Amino acid sequence: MVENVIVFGEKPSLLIDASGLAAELLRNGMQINMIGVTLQSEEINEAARYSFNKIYVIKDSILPDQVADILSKLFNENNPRLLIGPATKTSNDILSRVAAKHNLPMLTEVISVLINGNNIIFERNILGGRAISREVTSKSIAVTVPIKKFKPFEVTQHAQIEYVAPQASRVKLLSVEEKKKGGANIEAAEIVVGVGRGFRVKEDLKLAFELANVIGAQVGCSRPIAADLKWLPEDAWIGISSKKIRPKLYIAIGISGAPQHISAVDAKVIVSINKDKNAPIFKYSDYGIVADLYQFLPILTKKLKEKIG
Amino acid sequence: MVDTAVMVKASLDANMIRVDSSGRLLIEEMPLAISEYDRNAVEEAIRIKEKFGGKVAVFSVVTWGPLTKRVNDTESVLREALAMGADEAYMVVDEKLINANPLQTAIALAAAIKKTGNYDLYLAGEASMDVISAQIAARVGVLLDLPTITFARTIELDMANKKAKVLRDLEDSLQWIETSLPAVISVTGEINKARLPMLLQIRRAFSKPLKKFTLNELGIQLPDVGHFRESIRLLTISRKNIIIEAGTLDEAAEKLISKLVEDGVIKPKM
Amino acid sequence: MNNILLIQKLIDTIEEIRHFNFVEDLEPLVYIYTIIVAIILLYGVYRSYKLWTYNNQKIVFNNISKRLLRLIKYGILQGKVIKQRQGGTIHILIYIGMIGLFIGTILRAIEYDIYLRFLGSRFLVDGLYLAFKLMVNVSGILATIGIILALIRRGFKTYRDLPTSKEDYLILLDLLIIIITGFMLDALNTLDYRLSWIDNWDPVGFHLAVFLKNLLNNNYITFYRALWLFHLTLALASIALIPFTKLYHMFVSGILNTFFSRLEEPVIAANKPIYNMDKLVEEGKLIGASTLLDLSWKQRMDFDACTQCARCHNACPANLTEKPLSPMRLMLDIRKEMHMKNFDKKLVPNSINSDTIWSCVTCGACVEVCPVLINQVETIMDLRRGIYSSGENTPTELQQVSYNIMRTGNPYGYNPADREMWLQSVASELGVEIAREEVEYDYIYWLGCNASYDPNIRNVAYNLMKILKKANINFAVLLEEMCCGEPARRIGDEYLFRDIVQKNSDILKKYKFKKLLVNCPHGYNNFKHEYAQYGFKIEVEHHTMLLQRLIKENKLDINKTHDVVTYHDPCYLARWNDVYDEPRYIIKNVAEIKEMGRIKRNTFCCGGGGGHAFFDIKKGERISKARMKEAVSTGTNKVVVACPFCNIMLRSEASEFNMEVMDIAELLGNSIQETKKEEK
Repeated sequence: MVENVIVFGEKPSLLIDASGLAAELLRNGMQINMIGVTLQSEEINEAARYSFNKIYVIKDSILPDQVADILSKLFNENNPRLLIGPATKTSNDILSRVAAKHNLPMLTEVISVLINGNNIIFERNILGGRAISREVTSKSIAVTVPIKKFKPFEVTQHAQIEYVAPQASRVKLLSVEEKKKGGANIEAAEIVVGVGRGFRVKEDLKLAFELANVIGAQVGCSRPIAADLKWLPEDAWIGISSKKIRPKLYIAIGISGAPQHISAVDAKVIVSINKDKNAPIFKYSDYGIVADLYQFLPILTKKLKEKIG
Repeated sequence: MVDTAVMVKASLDANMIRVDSSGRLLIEEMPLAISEYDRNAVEEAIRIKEKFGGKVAVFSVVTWGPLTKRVNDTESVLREALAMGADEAYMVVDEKLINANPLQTAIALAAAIKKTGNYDLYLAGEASMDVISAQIAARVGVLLDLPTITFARTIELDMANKKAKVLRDLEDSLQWIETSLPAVISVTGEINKARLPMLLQIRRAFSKPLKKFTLNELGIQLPDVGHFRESIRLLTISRKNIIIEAGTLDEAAEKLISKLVEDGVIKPKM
Repeated sequence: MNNILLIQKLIDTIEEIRHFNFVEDLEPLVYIYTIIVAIILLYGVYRSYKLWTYNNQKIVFNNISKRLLRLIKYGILQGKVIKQRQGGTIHILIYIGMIGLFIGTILRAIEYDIYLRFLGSRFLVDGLYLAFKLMVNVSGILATIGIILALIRRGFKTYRDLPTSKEDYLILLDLLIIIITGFMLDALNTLDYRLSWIDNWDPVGFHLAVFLKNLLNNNYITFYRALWLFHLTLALASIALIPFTKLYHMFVSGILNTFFSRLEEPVIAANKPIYNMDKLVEEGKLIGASTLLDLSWKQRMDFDACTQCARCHNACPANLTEKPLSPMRLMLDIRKEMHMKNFDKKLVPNSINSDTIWSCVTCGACVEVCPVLINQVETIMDLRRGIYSSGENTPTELQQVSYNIMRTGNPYGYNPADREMWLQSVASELGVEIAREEVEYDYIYWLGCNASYDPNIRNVAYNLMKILKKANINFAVLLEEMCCGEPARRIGDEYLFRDIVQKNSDILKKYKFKKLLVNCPHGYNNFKHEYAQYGFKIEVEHHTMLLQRLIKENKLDINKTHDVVTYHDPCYLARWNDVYDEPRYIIKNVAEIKEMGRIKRNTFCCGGGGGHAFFDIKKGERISKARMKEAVSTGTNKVVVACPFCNIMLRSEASEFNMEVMDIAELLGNSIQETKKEEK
């Protein structure tokens, strides 16, 4: 039996990414008719290659209720088993509204999926990443997925693209301002160096930046550095209520290891440098060095330079 | 005068994990605390009341079990909100709501709110701190059929024109959005620094009204949407926990680098 | 031979004192002046009394004999005044001098107004007269030296921040002039009827007389009369002005404040229980003090008693590290409001910065050094409670501390389940018993929040328990421990404190034990003095007290090392509770001690008291850094502590100074690790 699945992504790249969940279900044996919905037409042709039967592009719509109204219409027309979106604030808002309208349960940031007969079983993190909740659904459901969690399915056939006129919104958009990027894109980085309260003054962060330079890393930080001390911009803040990172290597320097920080790091290898041998972060690290960062960092940087160049 | 309804959740405190001797998670033993962003929402409501006058009503649904214990826990959370300056508190208590999902919770909240009156503003935290589903505000907005704005970092009220200007905080951009009132708004942790209630304020707040509703009293039934939570298990972290020890820092650095090369996360130049 | 003849000659030639010589007609003036002065004096005292008792405050007279002893020890015998070398010496000189001169004047008045008038006789004759003369001379000299030294001390600012104004100089000069003119009058007086005298007994008089005789020839009567009038007026005017000048300290500070000083331990006096909190909360009133109306007659007397000696100012760790607190300044600022009758004025923040009140680490150095027994910490704590219960002007970190204690049972917000797990594993490893309700123990070891949660301090508990097991002490630990409440009380949350006392009492009542054992002086002080204020009496021992006994009774096998360490006395152990020998006894069995300058009751705070372990006043230098510098100056590289807060505070400075910080239990634990054989 073929199930309809509507996948939403505010940008085509996010649309592609979110479709990874549907691809996962496909791989698990489900037969799917996938419909995509996005808000931008840039790179739409790229998206069209990812096993969608049709993609709707909603024009000139940035407010959630506008989008939710159209999604709701599509929902009525297609009666999908799943409504999928990326785990972004935009998508979360929109999907919640559609879920409310159509009495759908909704699970955000699912990390795994499997099919069991008529049931689809999802898992997601709760309690600050300390626990996993296992959810069973037998009827239609809305779901959001973290970026790069599931692999999308590329096909050769091209999806049909249809443009949809916008709906009116109940609220008025006055202005949009792009956030200043600190230059760091820690979410995409393969190696991240994290700085914490172990650094005494802002100028001392240069020790970390020198290290990052040598190994090609981006520099992120713990909450106090971005939110309280404002030594780095907010988009460098690694935390579950801020940026979550998935690098190959994460080096935490002078960070004590609060759960909200640690659970935002999903890395292959974690290294910690802290002068307090009892710092909680060592429990969450693969390799730990108990040393004064002011003494150790220059040595590490020098040796890495020799090794890597 | 602005009357505000605030939705708060008595959430599991992730810092207070309880396990039994075999390492199994004991959800029922964990204490509940006011969800962090809900506290910001209450704070915002109090500040609006301090500025414009009016009243603040707080609402909560008991969704964790066992029921008797959690009713006390939720009452305690509501008393905190009252101690911060809210005027009335309402709780929806029903066995059927234990382990409710956001859909069911939103239905109960909307019904309780409707039963007590009409408000100018409906606030909630952007997400609860225990399950972080981030759906309540948007769902309640649909159920109450009101304009809804999520992730508000700033709310500016223009009561003369019954409007609100909201700064919406998305990952890469900031949006200024204007809405008529009444409206539903969910707030981020950046909107304000919430006051912490003192024990003596909580004691004083015992004189303020706290009312409980059952689903019957609200005249609602929860729909069966084919979803339930099967289990919650503790995530075990497994890291190597190797502390690199050496005589000198030089040696320690060497050891670390060779391990990282071994693990393939650093590529040495050939 | 010569001396006997001289004395014979003396007895033949000396006459009695001629009272009112040259000024018989002016005698009535003395009595008129005295009456006027008495009225003014009484008015001055009455004015103070009105201020102290404003709004129904009643001065409490009790324990008269104890209080008289206080007055004698600290007032008359200057018990604490002499403890500071510079000021103490100067004051003793002036004090003894002025008293001597005063006694001299009284004796003369007695002879004239009583003996001569009613008995027709004299007593200041012969030997007594000579003694009298000598006493007056010596007194005058001492006072003069004292005054001159005082003028130098103020002029050259040899004591940090000593408040000096024109009034100070004027008073000193005033006294000096009175003394000098007094000498001059005496000298001129005796010129008239003294034929010869022994200059040994009246050196000043003799030399002055010679000088003046030469200066004035025989035309000195007019000069004498003018000088007498001047001296009389100046002296009596100065007396009249006592209540309105610094000289008031003689009565208020020296006599009244010592007499009425609180008889309880200073630490108990500084932290008063509030028994009507429920009523206050119900009525929406504040807890603690926010205006002068909320401060007692005793506290108001304290403000008037301050002599501006600046000793507390120079002992206060906050002040010495440039925080905005000077206990002296605080007393004087409130005094000013009191004299302006601003009883309704909210003191914080209108006349006192809230930072001033929050800067206090409750170390008690100010109370320790105050020569007139003011308890500055009492007023600071009252005001702190007032600020705290208002919710305003309070650091949010401290509100978080209260909230954490309320919600998680410890000021840090740690998970109690984590404590239980750790304690159970340690208990099973060391064979320590978890307390059972049916069993009677000698001790319940109350770990306290730092030893329960902080990984570094857990090591202290571990070592202590190891030692106790080795010494076969009958003790147990509790799985259910709640914060002892000390942090709550110190930050001003008295309401929460009482709540905690109740809860912990309920816990402790379930068990049978002789004493509570703690490793924390704050906990010690709290259980010893403060729980009783809310109805729960409990016997408690600090671990150094028990460990010292164990060593004395040879219950422990210790390997002495060649280490040289320094010991940091915790304020709450050494100063507030007089325990400083026991820790030293223990340490000396393990290593050699090189002492710092400020030790024992004069210890310098680590900066962690009064809630400061939980927040920072980001001004000036960190108190912990200042203390660590002092530790470093001993030349050792290890500072031994007996308090978890001292441990945490000094530890944060340790790496910068390459110092090791270690608790006595750890020091001892390490030294008995390598015992040759286990004793049964």
